[in-house]
Amino acid sequence: MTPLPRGIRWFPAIPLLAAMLWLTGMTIATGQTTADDQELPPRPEGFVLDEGGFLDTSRAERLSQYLTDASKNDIRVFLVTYADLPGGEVAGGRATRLMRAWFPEGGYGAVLIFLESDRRFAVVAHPDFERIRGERSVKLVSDRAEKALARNIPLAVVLREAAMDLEYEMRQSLREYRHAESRRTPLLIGGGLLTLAFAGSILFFAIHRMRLQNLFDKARTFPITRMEPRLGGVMSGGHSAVSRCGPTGKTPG
Amino acid sequence: MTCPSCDQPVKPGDPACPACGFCLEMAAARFGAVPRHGVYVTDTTQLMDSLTRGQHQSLERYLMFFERKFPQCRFSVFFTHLLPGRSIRELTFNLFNRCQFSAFEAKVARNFSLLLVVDTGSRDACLMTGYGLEPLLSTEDLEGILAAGRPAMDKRRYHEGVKACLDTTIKLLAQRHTEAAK
Repeated sequence: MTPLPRGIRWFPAIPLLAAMLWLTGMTIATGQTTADDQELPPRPEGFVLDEGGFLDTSRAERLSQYLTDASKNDIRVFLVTYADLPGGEVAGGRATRLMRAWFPEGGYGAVLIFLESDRRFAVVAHPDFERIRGERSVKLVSDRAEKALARNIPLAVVLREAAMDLEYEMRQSLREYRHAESRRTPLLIGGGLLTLAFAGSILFFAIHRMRLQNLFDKARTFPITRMEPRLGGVMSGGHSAVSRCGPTGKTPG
Repeated sequence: MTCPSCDQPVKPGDPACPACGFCLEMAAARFGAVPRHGVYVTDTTQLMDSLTRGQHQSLERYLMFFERKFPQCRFSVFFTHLLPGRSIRELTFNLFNRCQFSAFEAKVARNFSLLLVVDTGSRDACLMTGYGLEPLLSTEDLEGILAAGRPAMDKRRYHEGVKACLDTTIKLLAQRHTEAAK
């Protein structure tokens, strides 16, 4: 190592080194891609995105046709396979990001992901579906698929069964939800009508009690004066007149 | 005020007529149990020539109309066939106080009801008021009301006669109300 020329001291080099280190760090940091920054694939038209290449063409087409038919009944299930994900991203994280990217308009949809590197399945359903799913859980679909995988069932079969299983669970949930809604609607209408009738009865009774003409100040009332009862009568003291049949018709009462 | 039995003056608070001793108990003993009656129209004669069913209903509607106009007041009509020698005025006093024509709480000065009793045998009629109407309708007023229905009642057209009485009562009470408001 060549010694520094005489007269040059060490301390002016320290800030220079620090600046160089900082610049190097910034370069590395900006060059490193995070999972969020990774480009997501566009939504597949056929509901199957086999990036891992685990499905043969005919099987993928049949499955795609099945899921396309299901989408006509408002259930949209996407099957996505990966051999590996860059940046150490897990299947669940990718499924969530895909769901957000592919369902901007909402709806009853879900993304089923298989990640070969982890041998794991992940299912993420849109919140619109989570709201109505009731007792059913789409998470169980991934559990069942992983168990099937552990039993050495061919992967292509497991993928197909998992996608169909997910579609079935979602279809049943939606059917049960709509059935419950259809039963609740007449009840709501009936309850509303009953409430209306009750309120109407109360209103009618109140108006009847007040007497409608009193509302418009058309009823005539008289002041109550102090009176003492006579002859044991509490209602009337016998203040009266008598009219008799005949030419005069009147007899003093 | 005069006694319904002997027509002698009676003072407020007198438990019985000072001249003849007439009181409600005596009237009750004289006429016995009160017959079944309605609030507005009662016909104990059981004769269809006094009121037809349609006339009965029409009269009730008119009496209800009267009550809507004067919410404190109730006009009841009672058709009967008196035995000879019985006083229609005593009977009216007895019915007014013992039948519950007006509301339960309408007692003494709060009673603004009117009761018209018509004897279909003699075609006599008696109109009596509650204590509340005494300052508003004099005996002459009551006679005027009865006189309005007299021509129809003489011809046994009781339905028309009662309506004529009611019309006159409405006019008189409306007039009294206006006077009181001034």
